Amino acid sequence: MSKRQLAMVMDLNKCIGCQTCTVACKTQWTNRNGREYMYWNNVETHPGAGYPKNWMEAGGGFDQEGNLKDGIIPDMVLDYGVPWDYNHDELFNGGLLHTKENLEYGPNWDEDVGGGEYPNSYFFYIPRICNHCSNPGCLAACPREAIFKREQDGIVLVDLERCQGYRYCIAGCPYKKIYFNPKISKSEKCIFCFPRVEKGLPPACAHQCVGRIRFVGFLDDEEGQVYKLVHKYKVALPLRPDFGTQPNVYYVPPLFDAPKFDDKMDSIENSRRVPIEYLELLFGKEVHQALDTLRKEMEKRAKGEESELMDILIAYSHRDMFRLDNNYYQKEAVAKNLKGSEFFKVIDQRYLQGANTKKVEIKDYTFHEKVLPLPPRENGHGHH
Amino acid sequence: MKKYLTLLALSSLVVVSNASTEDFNDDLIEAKQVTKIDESTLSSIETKKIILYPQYTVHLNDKDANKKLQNAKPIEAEVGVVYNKKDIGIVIKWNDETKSIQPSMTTNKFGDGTSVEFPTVYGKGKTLAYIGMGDSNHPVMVYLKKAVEGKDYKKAFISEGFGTMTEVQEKYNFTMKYDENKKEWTAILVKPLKTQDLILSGLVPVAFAVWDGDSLNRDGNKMISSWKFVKLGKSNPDTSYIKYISYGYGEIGNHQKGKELMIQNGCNGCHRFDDQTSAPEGLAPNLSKIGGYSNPIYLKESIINPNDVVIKNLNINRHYNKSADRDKNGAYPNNDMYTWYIKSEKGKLQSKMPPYSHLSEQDINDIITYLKTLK
Repeated sequence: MSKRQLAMVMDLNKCIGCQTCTVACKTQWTNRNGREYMYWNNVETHPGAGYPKNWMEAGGGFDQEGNLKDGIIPDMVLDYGVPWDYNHDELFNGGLLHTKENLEYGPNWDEDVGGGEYPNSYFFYIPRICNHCSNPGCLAACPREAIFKREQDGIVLVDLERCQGYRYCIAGCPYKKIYFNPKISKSEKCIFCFPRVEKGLPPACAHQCVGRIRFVGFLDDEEGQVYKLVHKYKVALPLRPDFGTQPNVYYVPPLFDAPKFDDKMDSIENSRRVPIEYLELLFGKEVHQALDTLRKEMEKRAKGEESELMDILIAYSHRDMFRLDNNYYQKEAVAKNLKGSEFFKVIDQRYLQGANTKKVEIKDYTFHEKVLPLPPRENGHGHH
Repeated sequence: MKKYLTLLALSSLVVVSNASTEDFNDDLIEAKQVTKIDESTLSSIETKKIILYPQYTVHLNDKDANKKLQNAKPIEAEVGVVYNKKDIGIVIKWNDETKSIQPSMTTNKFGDGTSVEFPTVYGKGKTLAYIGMGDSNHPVMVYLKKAVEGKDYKKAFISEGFGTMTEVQEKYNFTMKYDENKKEWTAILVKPLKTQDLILSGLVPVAFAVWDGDSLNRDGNKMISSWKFVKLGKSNPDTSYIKYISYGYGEIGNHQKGKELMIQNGCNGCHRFDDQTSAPEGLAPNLSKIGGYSNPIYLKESIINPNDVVIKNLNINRHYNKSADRDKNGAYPNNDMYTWYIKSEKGKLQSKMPPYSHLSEQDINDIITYLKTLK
């Protein structure tokens, strides 16, 4: 549907669940204006209910024939969880600390619970953002056609002028990564930090990641590490490909996995605590091939041989991990003879004005200003 | 002919009937001329009973809403219209046991609401617009009012079919109040008779919709009336137009024969209706509830001249073609089988449904009679 596609790869073997990405996203985009309960980026423990609760059973996506499936809209209190307050004032009078509300659920509710019985319990983390799918369920579900994929990079955005808050998009997204903003009565979602990306910076979640697990680039950029991980080595796989939306966030599946203990608490050789069936559920049958490749390349490296794949996964340099194509966006703007903020206006005209909007005179540019907090710079930022 | 004569005596009040397609007079609303339009004039005027039926043309993808939709029942409303030199005032009252106001801190609750729809194209020589958001030949204006916490949520739209609704700026008032004792909403719309997009005069088609938040109603998931006709002004409407829009009320055929004819003519190959569910969902408009909100003449036009009311299908991305090649980003193309029209080189929309104008007058009337029972 789009000319090019931006993608992200996350190496789950290196995710320590520190939530720095979550906080980077929250402080940048979702700590205000009705988005408080939303986590465009969250990190959840698997196996687990995730965020929102049991999202994998909440429907949406496409069936085998390519038809959109029914889904549900999660409840703010029961399924997402709302930020809560404590009774700090009462502590001065000898009160005991408790929350002001009854807690039902939260975005990190079952952290580190995982699966398996002690001593053979196990878990790993999955950070999740919008997958900016090639066949997005949210886009398909919208009766207003208010959701679109940007031509230049495949980022999926909500046209807030057209959105009427019907919320079919939330039912239609099998990842439940589009949210209802009750304050403005419209749907909002991860925007892949497009104002950053257009300046040559990766999304905040990727840039801030302390484990350097995230790679960002165009899927057709054969020199890029994203291309190599996804297409050349095929070790990065989409999450729940069976949902049928062709997601563009890819995961290097967890390879490191402690062996099981026997009754005497001795480790059982060649055993795996994480059931392969669970990895198959998450990443499809391709997970076998991906894990084999990872294992072989690791062995090569252990023997002192060259391994391009291992070098990539070590993540030496942000310059290589975040390859936004040498000012691709700036060139697009120059080709259109644009500079400064004009550049964004044209690239994202449809973020303001709907694909089908004819007669509307746009009067309110405030959203536009909110997503573009930086003053226009004369020289585009290079890679960091 | 008898009906035609009663029409001319518009000032006489007509006995209210339950079935919306039995008597054309039931669908006529005479507007009262007043000097000042305000809440008190509107709350004291004579109203007319109308019935709103659950709308179902395409399958929407909210699982919980679809469960509630299975139990959706028609509802009654009272409507009244006044006008003066500048403005038109409309009052709509309906019973709602479950008052729902969309709260400011939830994700899955919806507010009650109502809307008033006018075609921008109507009158002598003009065919009726598609009731659900208009069509490419008949854009409609829709005035929407919703009960939303902390907001005066009212919007005016112009629309020519699903997905095309576009907000326009217009000065008007639309209020909605709930009477806790009567369990009743009263909505009042006051707007100019003439705006850039819509001029109201003579005999004006108007349709009403009501949303029940408790039933997770929003968008096309709503109760809707057929076209009603408001008479503005003292002069008698054009008789040929009245004859046209009053076509097909009362007994005009045999519904069992109509169903047989629809099957014989292969309507069930694309449309779903009644027990005919072999067509893939979404291939063509679902006719299961078409009778509740369609005027007989609209049904006739749709059969003999589908190109007159080309309905844009809902978002085509809902169906993709798994047998086609994926593009370089892994995307499947849309499944064109589910578009309801073909676009000509000049951009004109042509319905995929062939015209059935070769059917005899009686066959068409039998089919209309059957379609009227689907609600």
